[in-house]
Formats: sequence, C-alpha cells, structure tokens
Amino acid sequence: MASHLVRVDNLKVYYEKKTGLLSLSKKYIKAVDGVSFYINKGEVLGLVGESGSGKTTVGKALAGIIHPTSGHIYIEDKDLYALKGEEQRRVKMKIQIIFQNPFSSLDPRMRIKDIIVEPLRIMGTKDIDYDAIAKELIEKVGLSIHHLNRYPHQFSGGQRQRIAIARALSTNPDLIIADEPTSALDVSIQAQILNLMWDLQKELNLSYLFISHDMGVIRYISNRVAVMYAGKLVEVGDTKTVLESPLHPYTQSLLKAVPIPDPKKARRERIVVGEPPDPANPPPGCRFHPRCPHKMDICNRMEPEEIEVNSGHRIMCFLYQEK
Amino acid sequence: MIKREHLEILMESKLLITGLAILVSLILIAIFAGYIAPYDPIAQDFRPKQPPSSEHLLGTDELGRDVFSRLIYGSRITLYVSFLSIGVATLFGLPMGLIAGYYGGAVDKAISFIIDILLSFPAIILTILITAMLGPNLTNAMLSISVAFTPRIARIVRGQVLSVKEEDYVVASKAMGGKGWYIMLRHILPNSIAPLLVQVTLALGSAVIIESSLAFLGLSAQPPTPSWGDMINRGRRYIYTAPWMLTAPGIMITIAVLGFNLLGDGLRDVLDPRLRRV
Repeated sequence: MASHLVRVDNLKVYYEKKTGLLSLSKKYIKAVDGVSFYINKGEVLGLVGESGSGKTTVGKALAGIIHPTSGHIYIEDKDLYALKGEEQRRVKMKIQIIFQNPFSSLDPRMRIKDIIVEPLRIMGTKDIDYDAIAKELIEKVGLSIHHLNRYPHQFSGGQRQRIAIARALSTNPDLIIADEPTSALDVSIQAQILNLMWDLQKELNLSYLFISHDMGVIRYISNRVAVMYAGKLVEVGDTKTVLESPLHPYTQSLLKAVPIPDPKKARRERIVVGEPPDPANPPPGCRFHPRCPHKMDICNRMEPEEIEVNSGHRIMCFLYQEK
Repeated sequence: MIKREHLEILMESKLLITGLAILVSLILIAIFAGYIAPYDPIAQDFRPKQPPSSEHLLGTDELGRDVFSRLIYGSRITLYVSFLSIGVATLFGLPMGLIAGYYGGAVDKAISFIIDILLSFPAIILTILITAMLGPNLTNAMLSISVAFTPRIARIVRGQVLSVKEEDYVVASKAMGGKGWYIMLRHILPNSIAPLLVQVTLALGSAVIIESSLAFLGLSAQPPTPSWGDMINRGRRYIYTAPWMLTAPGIMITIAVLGFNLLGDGLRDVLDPRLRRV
C-alpha cells in the first residue's frame, strides 16, 4: 500500500447518553461507526452527507478535538492518538481546522495579529517574529497589513473566514480540515473563499478534507469524494466517477436532490424519502435500507461489506456484491 | 480611535453617567471628609437633638454630635466595606466559577454543591449569622459579606464560562493544544468579564444595604465610629422628636445604592452588544 498522508482506520466515535431511572442505563449515539479512508499529499477529499451523518465528527476527530472511541488515525504512519505529549503536539500541528461559522471561530477580544499566530504561540515556538509571520499570512489570504490591529467585529463574514484560513496556515500544515467553510457565507463571497482555498492548495501543495453538503462546491474543489450516511462511508471514489455515475442508491438519491435552475426540467420523481435514522438506534443491516428504492431481502438482515468495484471506487451495497 | 468610540458609547448611556457621577461624588466626599465636615464627627457639643440650623446643617444627635459631619465620615465606612468585601468575594468567586465551569464533572459538582448550600441562605441572614458567631466588629462584617457574595459571583462566572467554552474559538484553541489555564485566561475570562462587571457593580449596591443593616443591628463598626446604619438605629428612638437624625442617613443610603444600581444598569446597556447600536 502506498504511503498516504492521512489514513483513517475503522474510526468510531460514540457519544454516551444516559437514559432511564437514575441514569443507570447507557445508550450510545453512534455518530461515526467504523469509517476508513485515506488522503494523499496534495489531494482534496470531499466529504458529503446529510446533517447528522457524522461528517463534522470525522473532521473533529482528525483535528484532535474529539477523542475517538476506537480506531486509528495515522498521520504519515504515526498513530495520532497513540503519541504522547510533545510528539503528539507536533503531529497535531500538521493538521489545522477551519470552522463553518467565522463569527464564532475568532475570539472577539483578540486582535487579528494575535489570532493568526495563536497556534504558534500555543506551540511555544521561540525566537520567531510573530508580527512578521502575521504580516506575511494576512497578505497571503488577500487582506492587508493595516487589518492586523483590528478586532474581528470590524470584518465581514468573508474577511473573517480569510482570517481563519490565515490562522490555519500559520503552522505550515499538511492537512486542513475545512468544515463547511462556505456555508455560512453569501453566495458571492463563497466563490471568493473557494477560489482562495483552491489557489492556496495549489501553491502550498496542501491536502484538504473538505466537508460540505453542497455538491457544486464539492465538484469544484475536490479530487475524490466520500459519501457518508448515518455514521458510515457508503461510497468513495474519484469526484468525476462518483458524481457522474454514482453506484450506491443513497449517492444517487443525494445527487437527484441537487436543485436544477430550470422549472421546466423540475424532477417529478421522488427524491430521498423519509428521515435519516436515529443514530442512537440505527436500523439493522444496511442503514439505508428503510429509504432505499432497491431494497432487497438481505438488506435488513446483514450489513454490507465494503467492496471495490473499480480501482479506487469503493461502495457498501449488496447490489454490487457478486460483481 | 477605538478609545473615542468607546467614550461615545459611554456618554450615550444616561444611566451610567448618572450612576458614575453619584459614586464619584461619594468617593470624593469619603476621601476629603476631613476638609468637608465642619465638625469632628465624635465631638459632642452638649446641646443634643438640635434641629437643623446654620450652625449645624442637619442638626445634632442625642449626644450633641453634628449629624452632617457624621454623615460625611459615615460614607467612608460604607464605601470601604462594600468595595473591600465585594473585592474579596470576586477574588474567590471568580476562580471558583472559572474552574467549575471549565472543568465540569466532579470538580463542578463539588464547587456547585458548596455554592448551592451558601446560596440557600438569604445574604442578610448569612451575614448576621457569621457576625453574631465571630463577634460584632468591622472586620467580621466585611468577612461575612464576602462569604455571602462569593457564591453569587462564582455562580455568575460559572454560567458565563459554560456558554463561552462552547464557542468555536475555544474549541479551536483546544485543538491547537492550548492548556486549561491558557484557555481560561486568554479566551474565557476576557469574554466573560462584561456581565461579571455588571453583577459586581450591583453586588456593591447590595453590600451597602447589608452593611447598613448590620450596623443598624450593632453588628458592624462599633460606636463611636460614624456609620449610616448606626445613625439610623440611634435616630429610630427619636423619630418623632428629632426626625433629622434618621432621615439624613436614610437618604444617603438610598443615594449610594441608587448610584451603584444605575452604574450597573448603565454598564449592562453599554457592554451588552445585543443592545448596542451597530
């Protein structure tokens, strides 16, 4: 197997939920339930799925914010959660995160120049000129030096997201986790931020885990796409393959749900019916079977294995099992 | 530039300006009491219960002491007790609330338990209890007020911390590897300070009332030290024959509490960004 920048192996994140009298019985909310994927150096992996499918939780586990229940995350073959102290910190610095809402991700009481270099300060990097780094980074994201002494409330959403990107770049990361970085922004601003992220990715040879539910954004920015449903990855493959000839019924329904700007062509067929399952109580077998148009007998009895249909195109569905 | 903008916001709040004016005057009176007061507040002139006159602006009390001078000197005790005791309460309550709110779990449960026990007593009952147990004097009065207000401050801080720590910038800072103390001091405290400042100001007003009540009951500063609560207590006996003895300190307590409350409300208007015009 080639050496990947990031390899996620059977990642599980369960949340404990105490129920019943005196909170004696425990229930687990399986936000992420056995997810494996990899990201290569300089590659953008798009992670799509409905709200509550666990895509943000995957991102947070990778960023070291949520400790996984089980599974491993390897950064350049080092197990992130097996490392201790200083070494873990160094590896963590190689991963940075950009949050969805730029209005809550910047401390309102800090100046921009302090926000941008905060990761470096926390890392305790000595003998470096923080101001010089802040100046360099703020210009890299398309703002100017005189913005450095201001506070976050003096900026618009798009500008704030640029500042968040500058902060993410401060540690020279290899991987940036972008958790729906454009969905809180106006459409006109979304394009600017996407272009900036695209340019930076090319210029610095970054890898992104780009979390989004916007198929247009994913199509634009990512090399490969992973589709998540109820805590599981149901389909992974090249962007072109997955978006143009999706195999998993869920991906197919998801793509049909993308609105098309032509009322005459408005789709009459039913798109994904029903609600996503309760993650505390997922359906047996394949988690998509209650909503699946191609449901078979086996689907509610057994959980499908992940199979590779073409090179790099993997799905979890019984429809393709015998092939 | 930022400073001027802030000043403008300050000037906009009439409550805040009024409260501030009252308190600054009171503080100046307390500092320069020796120059303002026409008489020694303890000296007796052997003509008790004189009505207000040009000689004694607010008359004299039952021992012939000048009420106006005692009023001036009395402001010292009031301000000294309220600032010092609430200061101490903040000194202890702030870290308690910060730690309880930030770390949660067993630490939070332990601290919240203590807070809840202390809060189950009304402040005035708790202070009377403590001063009665430890002996009535100024130090114990301050101590009791500190004990009564520490849980109040701690609870406000804890609530603030609970809401601020869920903000993405705190999560981000943790993801960067920020340690507990760093995050508390750098992110959580600066973003919790505004509502705390309001509550501390209002607590100062309550402390004035409680100190006066303790003095009224003879549990605070002991005679002959001039204090407003003690003056009311003395005046109470002569309310029909010498009403000036009781009215004057009563009005001063009202003004002092009003000053703190106006300042607190004004600060709330100014510091709460939801109420601020953009």
